[in-house]
Amino acid sequence: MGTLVSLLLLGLMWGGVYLLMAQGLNLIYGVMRVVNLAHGDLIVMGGLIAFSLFHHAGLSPLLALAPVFALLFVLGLLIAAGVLERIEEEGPRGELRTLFATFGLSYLLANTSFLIWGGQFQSIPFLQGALVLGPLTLPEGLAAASAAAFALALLLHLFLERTLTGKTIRAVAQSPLGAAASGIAVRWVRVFTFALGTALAGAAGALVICLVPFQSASGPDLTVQSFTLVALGGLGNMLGAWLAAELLGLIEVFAQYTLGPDAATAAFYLLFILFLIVRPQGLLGQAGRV
Amino acid sequence: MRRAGVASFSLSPFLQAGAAGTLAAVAAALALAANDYVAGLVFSTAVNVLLALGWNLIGGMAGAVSFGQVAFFGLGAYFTALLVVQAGLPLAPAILLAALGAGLAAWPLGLLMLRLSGIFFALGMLGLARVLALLANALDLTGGPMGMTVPAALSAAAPAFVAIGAALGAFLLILALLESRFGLRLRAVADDPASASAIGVAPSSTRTLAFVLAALFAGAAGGLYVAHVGYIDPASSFAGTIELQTVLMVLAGGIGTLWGPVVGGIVISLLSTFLWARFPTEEQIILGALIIALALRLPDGLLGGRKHPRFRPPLLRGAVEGVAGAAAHAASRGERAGAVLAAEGLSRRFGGLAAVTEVAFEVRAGEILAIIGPNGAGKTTLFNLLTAHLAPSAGTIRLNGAALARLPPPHRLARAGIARTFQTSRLFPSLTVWETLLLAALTRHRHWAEAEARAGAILAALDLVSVANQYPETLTPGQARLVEIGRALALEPAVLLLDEAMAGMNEAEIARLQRVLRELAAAGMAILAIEHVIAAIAPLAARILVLDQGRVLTSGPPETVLEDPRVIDAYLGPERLDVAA
Amino acid sequence: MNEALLELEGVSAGYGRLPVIRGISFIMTEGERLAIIGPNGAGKTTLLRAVMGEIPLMRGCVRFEGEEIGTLPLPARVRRGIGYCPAGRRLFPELPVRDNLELGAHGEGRRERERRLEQVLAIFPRLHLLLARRAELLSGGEQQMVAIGRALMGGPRLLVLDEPSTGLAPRVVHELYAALAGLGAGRLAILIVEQNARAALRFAARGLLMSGGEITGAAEAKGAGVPHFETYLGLKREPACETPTRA
Repeated sequence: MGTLVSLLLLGLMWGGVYLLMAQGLNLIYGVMRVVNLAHGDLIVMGGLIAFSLFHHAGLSPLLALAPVFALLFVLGLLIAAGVLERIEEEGPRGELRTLFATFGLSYLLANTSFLIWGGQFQSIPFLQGALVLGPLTLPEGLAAASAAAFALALLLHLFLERTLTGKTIRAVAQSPLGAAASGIAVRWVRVFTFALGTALAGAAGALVICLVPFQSASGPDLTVQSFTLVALGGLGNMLGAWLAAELLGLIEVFAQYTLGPDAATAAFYLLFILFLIVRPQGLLGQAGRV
Repeated sequence: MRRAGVASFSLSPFLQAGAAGTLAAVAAALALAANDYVAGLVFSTAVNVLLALGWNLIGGMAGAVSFGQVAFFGLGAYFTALLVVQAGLPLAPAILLAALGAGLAAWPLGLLMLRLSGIFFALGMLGLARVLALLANALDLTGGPMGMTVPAALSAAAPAFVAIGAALGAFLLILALLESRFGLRLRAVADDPASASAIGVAPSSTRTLAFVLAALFAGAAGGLYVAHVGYIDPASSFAGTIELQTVLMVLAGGIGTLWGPVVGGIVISLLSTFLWARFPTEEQIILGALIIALALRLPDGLLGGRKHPRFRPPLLRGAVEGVAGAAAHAASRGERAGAVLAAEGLSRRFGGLAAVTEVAFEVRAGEILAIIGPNGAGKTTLFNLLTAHLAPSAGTIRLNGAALARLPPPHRLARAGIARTFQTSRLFPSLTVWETLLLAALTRHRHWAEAEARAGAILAALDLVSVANQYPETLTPGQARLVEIGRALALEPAVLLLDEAMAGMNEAEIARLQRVLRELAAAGMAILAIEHVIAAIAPLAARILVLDQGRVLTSGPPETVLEDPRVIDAYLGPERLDVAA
Repeated sequence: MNEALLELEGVSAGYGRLPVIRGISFIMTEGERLAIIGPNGAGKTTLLRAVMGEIPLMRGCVRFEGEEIGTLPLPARVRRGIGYCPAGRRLFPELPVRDNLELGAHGEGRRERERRLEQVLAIFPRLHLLLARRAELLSGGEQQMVAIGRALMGGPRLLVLDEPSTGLAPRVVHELYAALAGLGAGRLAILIVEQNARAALRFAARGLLMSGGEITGAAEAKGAGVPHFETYLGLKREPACETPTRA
């Protein structure tokens, strides 16, 4: 019984980290209609930067969130302004060009990470103690990372809901033409949004690497995990995304516990495929809004 | 200006096959004459070309981009290894069986995976490759993460010959497919699945066949790979690097082209061999950057961007039977006595909004019914209900007296005898006028010659002979509209549904279309025209039905309907401002 | 000479390679109301999209307040002082009416936004009660008011409207035009594209008739130039109006 409740709580905490992973992707797709296949590689990069900051400067991963966020934001700006916004999408199958570009970007980033950090699995030994709550013991690291992830997700939500800049982003997502007709510089909003989504991916990476070790080649798995969340939860639906993240957190934890890590990964993919076969259009097309 | 869309030259299929054969012979000679290193290079290039041909078939020609084609490469590799190690088969039959096995496995998988659309198919395939890799990792049969050793081919030249043969075979098979009706269907489905279903082509079965063949090629490539290296493990058989290279080869050569994978395969194989020797750690960074650069600077690849018509009209012999001939065939499908198409109590709500309410009408053989109404009257919704793009909230639609299923797949509807046009012209960008008409005619006629005759008659009747080999982008809006109507006529439908067919046409084009519609009606076709340009349809229509705010405002012969003050008000706004603000 | 506010000279534009509109020229002066009418497919919306920079010009030029704006992107033209209500209204469906309106003045400070919001609410008092409602929940007429309000929030000198009466009941159309008629006290110029020819011509001082991508006629006097129903629809072939277009 104690184990079951522990697993349940673990799963729910995992959900927070998943939520943050998916939110950047969600935002970028909602505003730019760009399917960013390099999302997982950006998460990995954020995590490995936090890893270096921890090992060379002794910076706690929670404090490292700020520099990671800033670095990935700049990287996102460069990618969006330098590549994505320059792709000519006119003509037959023009929309595929951006997809291929992010496919190439995924390999470019993953192998750059490989050059810098090598191919080993890395992890940050952060708050390795256990939190004892009556009969339950929970890892402190997960609790802290989960809290940080939920806090960031909430901040993003408030930013989008309450500030004029945030509303500008939502306006572009809901009607690009309407936004342009309101005098909003749609192009810059798109670039900014991509940078923001990238920074969120980096922050998620800095938290994930405290929980599970990953390597420079882990990107594609994380990309698909993020997509699974987005497809399950429905874009822009804060509650839906959160519920999906919790659900997948639970699946992850229980599959890990009963079947091992490989089976957990396989479960993710199978769930992704099966869900989409039941709902072929996904939820992307239907509610692609932020 | 016009010339751009007309093919300036095109090679006959026999010349293309000859060129491919020559290329293969040169490669084989190279593998035989030179040392083992060169033979190995020829081998890997041929395997890459084979992979690229497969990827291009499904990702380019069928328009279903996949990021997990390596799944079938790995499957072929493992099947081969197992057949050799467990069943003791020699390499050559093992590879052949493994390729067939990969293709066989792809059939149900294709039916399943192709239900995913766009990016989800691409990612789902990535997932499939991962799941298979994890499976190979977990099973004892496959040797788990350590994999297995397979007795490899002794010389480097022998596998090179087989690989060249396989690549050449794949190329010739694709060439033959493109020369067949399947090639036409494939191009139409890749261009616009909705439009393809509207002329009776089922997108899913067309794509599944392409998927199976692509898997067959990838499986053969995987088997050849095992025979060459003599070792297999999950990491290398399902490697993302293979996917990266394959996509890059197709993009570099030209996605969706016949020769693109060949040229791209050769160029990128040589490039990556060079890179791997000089910059082993940076190789993949450079290849990734190359994809980005291609997307930015050369999105159509080295060979893309030019189109050559594959089919041209035969010389049209003397007198053609005219469009009425087509209609006469068609009319036999409609019942002379009763209504061909009828709607009863048709309604559709969107949330709280009633877009169409209790609409009823019938169209008889030989009759033109016009449905008019101001913008927002519900015309488009009604049209979508009749073409099964929307399910009605209530009411039934009958074709020749039989009620239609609630939401039949559009290609069934087209084959059952309901043909349609689209409001904004939706021709296939990569099919010429002739190819478009031919494809539609092939839906009704098994025999090529009959289909050609039918398409030729329509081409002549619509005055489109002079633009037969042009692509849609070079047609005037009026011509494009005529082609779309011709495409619908080639189905020899019982009833023809026109969605604002006359919008954007000039007077000459309207006059021509009016003549055609008159002939069709005289020959017994039932025509339902949703129109905004009343002037163009009123002289033709036996009856006009006026929609306003989703309901039938009135209906009857044109003279009475157009004099009706309620109709005038609906169009122009009320004459007097007697309504309180 | 009256100052030209908007000036089109030989404008051709379209999609792909073929122009949909050809050689369109006209001048609008400050405070003028001009209606462009014509049947579906005549090129009216394409003309507006070319004026606003939604599609590039193939030929000719567009000047606003004497300056060439033919190469500016749409948001830049809006910021220059051209308010735009595109076809289909293009509101932000999940944002409340207040946000929809305020985003039209997103470049201004909070105080200025509030001031302009008050002005818009004075024109469309009905929106007062709807400020907190999400735009997708409004009726068609209310949505059109929000779209016009949003364009007005930018403080334009020219307002460009694409088929504002589409899908609206006659009473709502009347109400909408009554509100438009009271706009700007003679300072604001309005360019309107309509199929609802009577409503548009009752409202505008001048009308241009388009068909086949060209301007084929003009009606100068306010209210007097409503073309006969059958002529407008092309059932009879006779000149739409007495005054020919200026070439």
